[in-house]
Amino acid sequence: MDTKTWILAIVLLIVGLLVGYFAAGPSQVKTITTTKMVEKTVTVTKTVAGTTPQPTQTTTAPAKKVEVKVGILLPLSGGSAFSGQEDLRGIQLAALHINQSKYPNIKFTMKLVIADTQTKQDVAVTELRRLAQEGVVAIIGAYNSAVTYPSAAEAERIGLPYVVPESVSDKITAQGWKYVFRTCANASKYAYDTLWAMADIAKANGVEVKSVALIYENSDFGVTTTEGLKKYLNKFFPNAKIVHEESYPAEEITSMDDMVAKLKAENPDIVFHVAYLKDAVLFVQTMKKLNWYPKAYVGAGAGGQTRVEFIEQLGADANYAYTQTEWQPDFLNSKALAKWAWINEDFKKLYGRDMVGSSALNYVGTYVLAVAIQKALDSGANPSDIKAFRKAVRDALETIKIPAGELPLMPWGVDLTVPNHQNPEAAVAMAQILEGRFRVVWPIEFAPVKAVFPAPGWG
Amino acid sequence: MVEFSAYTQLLVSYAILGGVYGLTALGLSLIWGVMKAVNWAHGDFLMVGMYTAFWTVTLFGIDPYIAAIVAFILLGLLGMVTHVIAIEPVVEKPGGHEATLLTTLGISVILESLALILWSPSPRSFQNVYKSTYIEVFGIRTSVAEAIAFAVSIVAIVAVDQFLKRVRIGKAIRAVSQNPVGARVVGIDVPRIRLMTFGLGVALAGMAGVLVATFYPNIRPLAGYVWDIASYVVVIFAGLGTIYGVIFAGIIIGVTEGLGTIVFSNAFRQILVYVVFLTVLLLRPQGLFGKALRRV
Amino acid sequence: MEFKLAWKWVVIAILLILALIFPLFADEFLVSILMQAYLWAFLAMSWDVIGGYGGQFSLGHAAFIALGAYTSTILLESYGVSPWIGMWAAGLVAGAAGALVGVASLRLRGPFFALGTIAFAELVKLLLLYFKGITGGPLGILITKSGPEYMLFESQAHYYYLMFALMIAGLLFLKWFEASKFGIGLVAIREDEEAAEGVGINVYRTKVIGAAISAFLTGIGGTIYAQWIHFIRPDIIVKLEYSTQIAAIDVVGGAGTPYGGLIGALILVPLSLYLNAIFGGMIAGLSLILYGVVLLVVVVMVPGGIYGLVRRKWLSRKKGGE
Repeated sequence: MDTKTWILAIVLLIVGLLVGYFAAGPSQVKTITTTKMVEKTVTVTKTVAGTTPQPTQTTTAPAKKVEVKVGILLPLSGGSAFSGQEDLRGIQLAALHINQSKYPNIKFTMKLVIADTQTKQDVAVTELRRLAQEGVVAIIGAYNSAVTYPSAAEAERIGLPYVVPESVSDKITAQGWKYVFRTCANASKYAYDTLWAMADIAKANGVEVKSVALIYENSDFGVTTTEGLKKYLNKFFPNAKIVHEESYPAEEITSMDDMVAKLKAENPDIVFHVAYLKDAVLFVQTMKKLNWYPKAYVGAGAGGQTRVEFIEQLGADANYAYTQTEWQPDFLNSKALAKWAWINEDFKKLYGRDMVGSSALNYVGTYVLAVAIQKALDSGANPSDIKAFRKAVRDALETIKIPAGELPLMPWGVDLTVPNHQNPEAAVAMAQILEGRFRVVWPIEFAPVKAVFPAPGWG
Repeated sequence: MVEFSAYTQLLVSYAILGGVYGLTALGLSLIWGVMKAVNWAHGDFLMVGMYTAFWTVTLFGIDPYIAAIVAFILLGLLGMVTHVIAIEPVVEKPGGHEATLLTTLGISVILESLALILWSPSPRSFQNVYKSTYIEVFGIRTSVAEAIAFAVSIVAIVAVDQFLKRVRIGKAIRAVSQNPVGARVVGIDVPRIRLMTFGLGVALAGMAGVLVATFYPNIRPLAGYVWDIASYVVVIFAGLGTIYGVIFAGIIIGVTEGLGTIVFSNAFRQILVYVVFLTVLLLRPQGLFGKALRRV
Repeated sequence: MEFKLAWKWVVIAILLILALIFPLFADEFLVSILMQAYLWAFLAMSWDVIGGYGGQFSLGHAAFIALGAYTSTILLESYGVSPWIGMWAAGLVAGAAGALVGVASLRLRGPFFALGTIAFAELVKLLLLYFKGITGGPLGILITKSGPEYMLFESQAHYYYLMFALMIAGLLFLKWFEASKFGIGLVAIREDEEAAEGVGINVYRTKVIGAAISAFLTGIGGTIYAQWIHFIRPDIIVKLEYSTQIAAIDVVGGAGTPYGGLIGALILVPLSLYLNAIFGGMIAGLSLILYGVVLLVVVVMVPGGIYGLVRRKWLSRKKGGE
């Protein structure tokens, strides 16, 4: 073995490390000050797009602001990377607004320490240890329920508050964990709201629903949501029968012709589909190929159908599909929520498009955590005694009660005083894709347009 | 229950899908057959092909089928570079099979992560009319994109077969595949032939990627994975050293898969696929269409 | 000569002591990284029995991890059996499955065997998903018990010692195995099956038992993994990535040697976890590129793995000295 190869190997490694180091910005390797990072992005967008001057100027904080570190666990690479990166946008924007003192009730500086779970549970647990080591007072994460679950268990063991803004698996808040709090709805609630919305819409349009079909991807997400749908179906549709039920592996599916053919034969009024993006697109494409469309095709669980890529990829074929959605720009047209329009404006300036459900959910989760941290600070807890401060933040989280209207962006409020720490007020809206845009059609008070039901089909 | 006409529709749909399986498996089969090396990064080359289509179509507005030619050339070059880095240095050493598995695993990880960093994880798509235009014959519908993909698959397989049988380099490739030592003795530059083969195999994968992307949604860094599995199953079914076998195996698998789901549920279908796969592998390791293997 | 031997023991003793006191001065993040390196080292050593000594390149070892993890976890959560006992049952279940793979290895060679084991792992995953009643299906199982009698600890340091003990046990086993009649037989089969048969080695038995041993150990590793992560679900535990990582670790370290797994794990696991900690929050994916580069470079440039390289250097220096 000659030394040449060794030198080559080591040089390659060093070059790689250097590239990474400088590409990331040489000043900070381990942690990122959100303000700085986001502002950098702003300047980049500015130079690229040549837009008008940015209003996102940091009002240089009064010198004595306390800095609090918050850990972010998200899948930034791996199978769920695209969701994780969207979530991160919401969190970074929330931190930016907090640091710019956009919320007068929050007076500290939030510093984000970001970690990548690679969509793997063991990496997540290891990174959680690192975040704890770096002195974060709380964690926000982790998108995938399967990753949230073990990492939240670990946080519980360390005594580190863990805010779950987006993972929906019911089990996360069913363990009686003291340090884990969920601000969004759980899977059952998603299912409940799906049925509620469709029942209201059917009634408003005078259509009787006699048969439904349940199609779902076969992981945690699809299975728990579908269980909820089955549980509540007859509460909202007393006369409806499930004529077909089928699950499939979302990752490996290459064709959905068989499922659509079966549905075409059964011809149910409503198809509830719990799906990720690819399978949702493929399903609609296949329905068109086989020339069949139900009275309503409903994406339950706010999965793939609620992503902008769903419309991008399907074009006009996406029209008339319903999808659950946590947030849409339509909300800002309502009286109650118009005052939050500036958040979406800032988001657009940074990322060039509207916020979506997942970024909004994470924004809200970060806000709620910030309120709790402020409460802990107000109670006199000392942030430099990290253990006691985490406990204080936990105790503060347990007293959080934000009524609807005071919570940014969302039509609902947050109540974490319930024993299982599952926010009971979180709700999920229903949108329909009309003329290539998501339009909120339920709850009616936030709906600028009326749902088209039954859908006209392929014509 | 599903009507008879629906069955014929499904039969055609899945035969077309199977044809596409054949196309995605072609490059893998060629490389494996000739150098007895498994290209673990096969699915990732498909993915790079899909991105090639995405970028050429969105940046230059050209037709996706011209993008397929671009992808064929680009991926051919990429394949040769990969070969020089990862395959040639290890393929002849003892334990070469295992070594190529691991080096191509390294390539696979690198390609996926590069795609993630360079092109972001957001799923991409490009507009094409072929996806949403349909042909209808005797009440059986299919999209133009799928029909073209199937046709290209057949043409590509015939072309590769003819290339191996009639063109000088092709004949040399066959010679190397059947007897590398003998090939060297008669003066064939074996390393060069291996380089050509790997390049051709990857180029075919790239082209397949483009064709898949015309009708299958979601171009993203991990998009190759799903076609990867299908390709491996097809290659094992077909057996090595048979080009036409690939398309037959593809169609058989496609149709079985499709009809299997009518009888069984989707949840059980996959179990069935793997059970059948393992059974074929154990009872007939040379595949359904392959010749008996020498003991390696 | 004796002087040299003494030095060897001194070095070993120092390393042991360093490893043992490591949790006292290192932070929990480093402890958890090193701990995972030990776990992967043990898994790679288990793989080594069939993959290195046996020369059968299995890419389905994640299935054995899963079978082990599920066996002990079901025993624990449904029947209250402590994993200290459950891990042996886990090993037996995985070992039985391993014997099946061993039978398959009689017919499949090289890449065919590798693909067969991948399919086998997929099948195990699908069956775990399908039998919801027992396994919890796609919802998985969360370990809810606590206490050391259930092999559940509060601090990472305890897991660190557990994994360390496991790794040392694996190392000692491989040392013994390598010199045993059975191990020699397995290597003989790897080198030349016909010749081995000729000298009276029962190829069938040796291969099947070899695979069973490998799977048995991996199954125990699976139990420990589940005890550490506290949550198992078919799709996150039967990952092709895990199967390939096990093989990659062993090959990088040096397959067919007792130390290969440990060396490989000590390089690759901290590399990937630590790089992810540095770059993950900024350029997600960069750490994986470097991981891929290291894998590629080592396999291409250092045939026989790092241990093989070190030993060759060592031997040549010795020769030069004489």
